[in-house]
Amino acid sequence: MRLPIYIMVLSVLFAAGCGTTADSSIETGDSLEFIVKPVDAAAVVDALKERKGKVVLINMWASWCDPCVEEFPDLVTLYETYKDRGLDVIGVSHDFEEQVESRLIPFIREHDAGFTHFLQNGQVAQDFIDGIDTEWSGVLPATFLYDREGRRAAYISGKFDTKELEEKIVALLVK
Amino acid sequence: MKKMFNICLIAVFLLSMSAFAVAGDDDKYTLGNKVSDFSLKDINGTEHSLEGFLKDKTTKGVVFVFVSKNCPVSNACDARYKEMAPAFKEKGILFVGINSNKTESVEDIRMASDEREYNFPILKDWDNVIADRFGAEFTPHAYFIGSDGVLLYKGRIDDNHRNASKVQENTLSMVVDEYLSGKKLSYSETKSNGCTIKRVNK
Repeated sequence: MRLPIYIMVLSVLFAAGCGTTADSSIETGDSLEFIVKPVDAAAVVDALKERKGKVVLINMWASWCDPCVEEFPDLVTLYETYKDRGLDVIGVSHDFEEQVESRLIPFIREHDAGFTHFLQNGQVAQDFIDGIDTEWSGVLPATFLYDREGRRAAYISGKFDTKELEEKIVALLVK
Repeated sequence: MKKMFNICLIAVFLLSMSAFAVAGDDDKYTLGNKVSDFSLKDINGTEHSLEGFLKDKTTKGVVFVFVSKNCPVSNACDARYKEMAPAFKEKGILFVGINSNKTESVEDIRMASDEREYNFPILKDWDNVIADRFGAEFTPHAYFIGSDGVLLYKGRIDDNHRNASKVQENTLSMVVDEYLSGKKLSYSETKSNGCTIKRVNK
């Protein structure tokens, strides 16, 4: 299956109209479907707004970024552990366009990462960075955690400490 | 008693050494302020210092760019580095790479430099001491110092490190040209993405 250059990876469920992106999951194998959509900072912010009522974690990463790759399995675990209690995760990849098919998609499949994935592309880097959060220096990875009202509850520059992040997530979920 | 005294002396010595090993706030290089002199060896073993770079009266400034051998984003800028280095030199601005990654040996960097035909020096920053002073976070991360040693700009090379074909603004070159023509700089600090500098634990 040939994949488009610009992608927003969503699940078969979403493609079939079964629920919102928050309920979507990625299936491994050839059943994956992809919806073409360039993603800028505004689209990420819109996706956050659409998830009001959930605790949302946005992770800025790239498959070429070593610490991003190191923390990625824990991100998947956190999502799988807490998604039924109201956690949603959005991964925003900063991969190269030409490596989407060869590297990004296989990586996501390999890790069975069932949350929503965006590909940052095209927008001037500083506009994208400031459009997400002016406190963010642009360093990868970066993780933003939002409460159910969409207010930023945590910002982690660089690799996250999984235990600390999990504690923050749990604290927000019980509110 | 004497043994205890000796242990205390050693402890005090080690504590003082650790204080020197970690850059304190006073050691940080900040925008608008003079960068205190530092020296590093390049990948061929030649020592260079900031003062050494600036003492030549034809030198009007120095651009330091934190680079990496393995970072795809830094590597995507290779052609741009190689264009900037001679272009800046003609204007009296030195273009110097700094590698602070603990994961990249001098030998690795030298081989990459030869293969890629870099036309600028690369300094090895062991233990990321200089990266800490500059506050450099990722590669590529550029710093421009004027002829008086004052840090004038830090940030991106241009507005699309990942894709040269989508660059709309050559920010670093623009800032350098503004400085040389005596204009107010459009930016003193910009943001971008890159690979995190692989630091040693301190």
